Amino acid sequence: MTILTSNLWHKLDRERTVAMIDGVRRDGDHILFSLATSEAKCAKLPFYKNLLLYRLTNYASLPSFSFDYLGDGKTYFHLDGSVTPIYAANDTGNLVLTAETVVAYVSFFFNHVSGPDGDIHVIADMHDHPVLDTLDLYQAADLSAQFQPPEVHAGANGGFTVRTTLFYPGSLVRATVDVTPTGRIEVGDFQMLMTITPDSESAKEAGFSS
Amino acid sequence: MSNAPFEKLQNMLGRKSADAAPGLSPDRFRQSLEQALAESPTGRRLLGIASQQRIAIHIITGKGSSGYLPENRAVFISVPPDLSTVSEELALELGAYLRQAELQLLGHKNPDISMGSEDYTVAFDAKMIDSLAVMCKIASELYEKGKTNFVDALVRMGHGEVYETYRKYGQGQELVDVYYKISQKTG
Repeated sequence: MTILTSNLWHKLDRERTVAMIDGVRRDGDHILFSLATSEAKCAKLPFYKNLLLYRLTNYASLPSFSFDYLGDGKTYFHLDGSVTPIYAANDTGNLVLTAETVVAYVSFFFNHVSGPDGDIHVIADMHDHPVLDTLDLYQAADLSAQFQPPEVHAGANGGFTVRTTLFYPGSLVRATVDVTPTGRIEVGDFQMLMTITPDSESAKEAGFSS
Repeated sequence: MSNAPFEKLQNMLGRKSADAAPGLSPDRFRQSLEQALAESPTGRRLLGIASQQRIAIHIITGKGSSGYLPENRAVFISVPPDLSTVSEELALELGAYLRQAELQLLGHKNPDISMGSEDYTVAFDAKMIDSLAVMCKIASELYEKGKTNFVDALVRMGHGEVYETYRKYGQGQELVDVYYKISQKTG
């Protein structure tokens, strides 16, 4: 199953970097990116035609400071952690959802939308996600025994339903994600798989867990 | 199972989504963040230096990227729209970025991409270790005042081992060793 495997970054040349820095700045905005210290790159996503994922990085900050955008080279939607820019980009008519690309879209969506309690990640492959590094050996074995890859079902309205494992702050859950043809997302039917306390043993040893 | 633990997510992306609660204004958010940081003596000292030296603190909408930009003489803290609560993680990060600003004023500049890779790495690591130490110091001071949630935040940020080392040995070679040990493991 394709999960952002075509997400290969291409560095923009100086001219296109200047154009992009100018293109993303709105009147009154702080100047966060300058040509002297910043780099721009772009990547193709499998579920958009005519829109690319852009990343501007300012290396003057430690660690480096990045903002992501969806854009066509002229218009850019700043991915600010809310659903609004993704839905606005989708409404340009460039979203192409299929049974093959919908999981990648859901993964992209949660990578760029902040949950109310912290970041959410789609776990499509239990051997290939940084979040899983926080599991201890027993939790990893437990998850391995019950892990199921995402299941995709096409809906009558042209949308899709994806039953998948999600990392939700403090826990791993199985949940149902409904995706409409315009990329609107709803989540429900949660099933708790396990709770996770990162670095809990270190915390206990140091005597600072509450 | 009950969806209760996911009620807020349900409100945001659920099948019966509620209207999003209005977030704090950037000014209110910044004030709350500064208030949380000022509870620690180190945080208070850094905020005082920022005020004296006219280092600005800006709250901007964005996801996950914050930092001190020397060319702007400003710390930028990015938060998602509608965020209405100040997290301990952001308060600790603000402390680290204000410390970077202080070091910049003292002449210890951030490395830049024109440097050779070895010089860049050495300068980068030194600044990162200092930033981690400042976060540990602030969390430790607040822990002594009974506010254990800042240490919990450090653990959530993946710095539990760094904090443990700081508590035992302070900001010495042991902290450098654990930084490189973790960097190798994750890098």
